[in-house]
Amino acid sequence: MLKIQDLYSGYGNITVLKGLSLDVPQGRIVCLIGSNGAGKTTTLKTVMGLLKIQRGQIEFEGINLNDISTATIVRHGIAYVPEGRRIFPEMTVQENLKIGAYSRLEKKEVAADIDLMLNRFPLLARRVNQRAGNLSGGEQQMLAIARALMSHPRLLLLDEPSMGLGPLLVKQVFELVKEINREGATILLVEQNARMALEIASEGYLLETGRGVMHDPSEVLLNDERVKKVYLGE
Amino acid sequence: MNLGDVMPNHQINGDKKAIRPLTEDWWRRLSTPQCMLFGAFGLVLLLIPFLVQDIYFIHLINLSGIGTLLALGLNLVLGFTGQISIGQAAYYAVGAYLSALLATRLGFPFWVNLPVAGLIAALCAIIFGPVLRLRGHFLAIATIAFGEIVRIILLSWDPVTNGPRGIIGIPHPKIMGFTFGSDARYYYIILFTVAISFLIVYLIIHSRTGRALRAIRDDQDAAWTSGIAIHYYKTLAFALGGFFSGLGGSLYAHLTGYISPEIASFSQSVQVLMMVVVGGMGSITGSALGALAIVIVPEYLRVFEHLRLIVYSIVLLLMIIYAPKGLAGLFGSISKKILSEDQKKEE
Repeated sequence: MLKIQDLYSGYGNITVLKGLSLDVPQGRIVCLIGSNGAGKTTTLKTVMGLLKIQRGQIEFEGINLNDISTATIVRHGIAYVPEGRRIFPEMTVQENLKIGAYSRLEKKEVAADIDLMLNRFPLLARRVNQRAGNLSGGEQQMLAIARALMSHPRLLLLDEPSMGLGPLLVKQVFELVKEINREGATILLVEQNARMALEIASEGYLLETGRGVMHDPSEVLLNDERVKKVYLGE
Repeated sequence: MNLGDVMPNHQINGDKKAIRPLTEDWWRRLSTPQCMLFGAFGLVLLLIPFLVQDIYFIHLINLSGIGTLLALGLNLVLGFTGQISIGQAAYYAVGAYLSALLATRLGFPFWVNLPVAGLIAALCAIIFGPVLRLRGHFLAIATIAFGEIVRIILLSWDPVTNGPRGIIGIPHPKIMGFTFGSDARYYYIILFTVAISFLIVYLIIHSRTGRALRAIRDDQDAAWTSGIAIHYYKTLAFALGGFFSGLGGSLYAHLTGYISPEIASFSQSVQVLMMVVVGGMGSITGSALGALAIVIVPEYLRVFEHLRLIVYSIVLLLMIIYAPKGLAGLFGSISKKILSEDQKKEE
């Protein structure tokens, strides 16, 4: 579904990704693990068109994403939940959801989707007209995910959804990710919490200094001695 | 209960909802205290020239009305889109000079000059558009530079702008044989323009476009990844800001009958910035409150004579420290307190 080939990208003159290739098959949860600076977030940002591709190619369902604007990428069916939640704090919960559906023009269906989303997240429903900045960390993460779902993505990019959340909430978030996947969305997940991520993912890529050094089914990565020692803390 | 019971009920409820707003609901909505207050306030605004005998004070109100348009324009840029601009006086000057030139050289009537001034000022903002890729301090400096460029053009393009001597003899508006000569008459033109502008801005802010602008203010990158075309909306915000400033410039030219490059000065831009900050960033009513405060308060500080500016700056500093959301935020929290105390009493 998403194919990245020999990708070079980064910030200005600094190249972070140095020849990354990866493949996200339809219907799966694929996770990227690796230490800080390995290029996990950079990968997601480049797919979304936030960073310029220096070399290589990104393809989504056969469409070349190299020279397409972010707005068009969203319309093609990719959504992004950025690291650190990044909701719109001065806007209401409802407005946040509406922004998520920004690429869709059918007013009625969007309104119906907001109702669906509020049914799904009762915590958000109670605070629908409140400033999103007043929500707790967990609620903000739910809102960030709900906002991304509003664009009906077929591919969802999740950047560190567990960051800054307590263990119970982390579990809830991962349950939610699994559920979204069961409903049909393909997921590319970036996580510090490598163990949790690998437990819900079917396969994983290990990134080191901008390259994929391992690509294996989750069970293999979970039992690999080196991965265990460096990334799973055993 | 089976499904058959549920469906018709649901439909009846749906129908009721569809009919109501046209009949009772409207009346009920209009008869709320807020609406009554709003209506009374509107009536007072209409009667101001009759209630206030002091002509100079009406002149000040007129100037605050023009200031309101400027503040409203900057508020769209700064308060709602989160982009700094310290060059709003440039658009104001473009509107004023264009209007003045159209009237004195080509004899165009006021009601043509006003919208044209707004549109050309908006066009200037669109030409300035590519600069909007800059962020923060860099954008601030670029907007200052833009203001200076306009001021220097006005100062040195002598054959057209008359240079430092400015343009004199700009006629008062005449609409269907009625001359809006005095400040009291001119007041209605300004009131009308400000009211329409408020309505336009209100509609924009609560539309899909307005949500996009506010999303950019709240978190530019998150707005970008939600599929919002950032650059387009920033340019739009500046264009709208330029439009309202241009209207203000046109109104000013036809009110005073004389303009000079002074109106494009840096201090003029800073004054607009203060109106927005004092009134309340991201508040439409705040634009009016800020303009009134910045225009009228210094007049009453004249009792302090040469200490006037010091007292003025202290008042501003206190405002920024203790009321960061401006006058609009201050009034908002006061009225909230009163309301919650009322509720306590009722309980």
